[in-house]
Amino acid sequence: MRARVSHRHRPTVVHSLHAPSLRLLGVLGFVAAVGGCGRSELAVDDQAPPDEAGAVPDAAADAEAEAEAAAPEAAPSVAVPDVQPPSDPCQDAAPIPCPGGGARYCVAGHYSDCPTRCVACVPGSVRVCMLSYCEYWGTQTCAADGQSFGYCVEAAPPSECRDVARSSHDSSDLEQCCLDHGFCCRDDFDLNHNGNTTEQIGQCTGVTCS
Amino acid sequence: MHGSHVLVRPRGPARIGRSRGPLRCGIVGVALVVGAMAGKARADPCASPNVIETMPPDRAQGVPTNAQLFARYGSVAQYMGENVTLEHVGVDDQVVTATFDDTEGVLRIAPSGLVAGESYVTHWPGLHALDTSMVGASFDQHFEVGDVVDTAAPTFGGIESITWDVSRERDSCTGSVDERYVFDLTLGPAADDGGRDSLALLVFQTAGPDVDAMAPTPILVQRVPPAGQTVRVSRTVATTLGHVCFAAIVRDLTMKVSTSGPAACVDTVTPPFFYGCAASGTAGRAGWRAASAASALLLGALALRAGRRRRGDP
Repeated sequence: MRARVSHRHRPTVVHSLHAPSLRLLGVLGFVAAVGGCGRSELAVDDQAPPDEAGAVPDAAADAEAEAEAAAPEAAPSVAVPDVQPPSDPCQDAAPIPCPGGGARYCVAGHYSDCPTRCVACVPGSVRVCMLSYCEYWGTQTCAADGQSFGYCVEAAPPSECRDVARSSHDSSDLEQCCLDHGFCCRDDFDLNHNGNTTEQIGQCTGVTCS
Repeated sequence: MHGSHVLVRPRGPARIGRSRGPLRCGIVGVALVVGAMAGKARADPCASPNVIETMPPDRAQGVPTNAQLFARYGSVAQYMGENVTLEHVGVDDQVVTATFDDTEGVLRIAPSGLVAGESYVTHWPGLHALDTSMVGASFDQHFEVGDVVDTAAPTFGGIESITWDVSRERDSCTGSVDERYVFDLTLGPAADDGGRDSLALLVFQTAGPDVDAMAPTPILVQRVPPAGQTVRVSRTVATTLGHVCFAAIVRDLTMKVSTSGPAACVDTVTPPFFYGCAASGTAGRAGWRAASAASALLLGALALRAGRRRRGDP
């Protein structure tokens, strides 16, 4: 069935829309748009993130506003309870010394972790890594802020591990060779069986944060 | 055959399979040469054990008579018993016992008998870097003692607000571009009877992907910035993606600390992201609704006007 579109002139009353009105609307639109501007992922999630207590902020605000609107006005004679601000649980909490240096401080209601010298690695330190091509051996340097390692840059394996690299390529044998010869090695093959293949093992003094 | 440029990968470990074709090794070789050139370009050591700052700051006045003195070094510094000398200007020099906290990179002395109104110089030694022969520069810290004893703990308004962004800068150690979230923290007022400028700021991450909510992670120690200045915290994307909270305390020259107040939070999104209008913008949904309504109104008005023009109305 084809829909018919009629173009009838309707004698409707249309208020004249002058340029000033348009300008006003434009300004309003701009102001509102700026108010709504922000930074978002390219795929926008319409769900507002929950706050720390797990509540969705806008939903909570809406519910509060509705409750306010629905609630009868309080009688003037009703006494307002004396609300005390909650005391800070860290008010008298002294720092606790850590065995490795530094201290645990009470922050936002909880004692902190003990501090470490760095986050992931000692800045500028180097560990051995393995590659899947050519030499099968490389090195990775820790970033200046100690928060991550850089790329694995290919290098010739040391003479002790050259034959293993040729025959076994990047393998647990090569990682074992790395360990056996006193290097600090990325644990790609989880040789310490702790489920972590991004850490380093071996002679890692000066590499691992302690 | 594709152009050779397609195999030169800008980031990530270049795992290109087990094929050992000469082409791939050749390309990797070219990449290694480029990498070596990049390495030669940076002659300076990427991480030094130099003195970064002191608490109290150099040329401080009115330092409490019971103050301890601190020097913060680069995170690769290690203390091997080097002498720290306290010079009582015009009177004498004395070598004082120092303790080093390598978790904060802070060397500390606790001098006794600081005299009010007198001038002193602390000669902080250059320290060695971990596992290298590099030695950092020494530093002379001048200060004047005031007629005050630090007895009270400092007060601090905590973190008032946070802004964030993504930073991609070439790292001086790895030579590669590292992606980090940077957070600029606006601090509340801080005060202490020993002087605000001598306070140390300790920042903690209290929420985030790798953070135990019951044990905030220490992430920064530095001298508190001048009033009105923000403090920048840099973190990897993996550790600060999503709902992230920070809290901070200040510590005075007698190691007394303030409270932190509640944590300040922000929600980060995965880069690449879009600077523009968004449902989750800073003004929240109210702003978005207002923008939508105004946009609809504007479009309607424009359509109306266009219709009138088509009909030849003035």
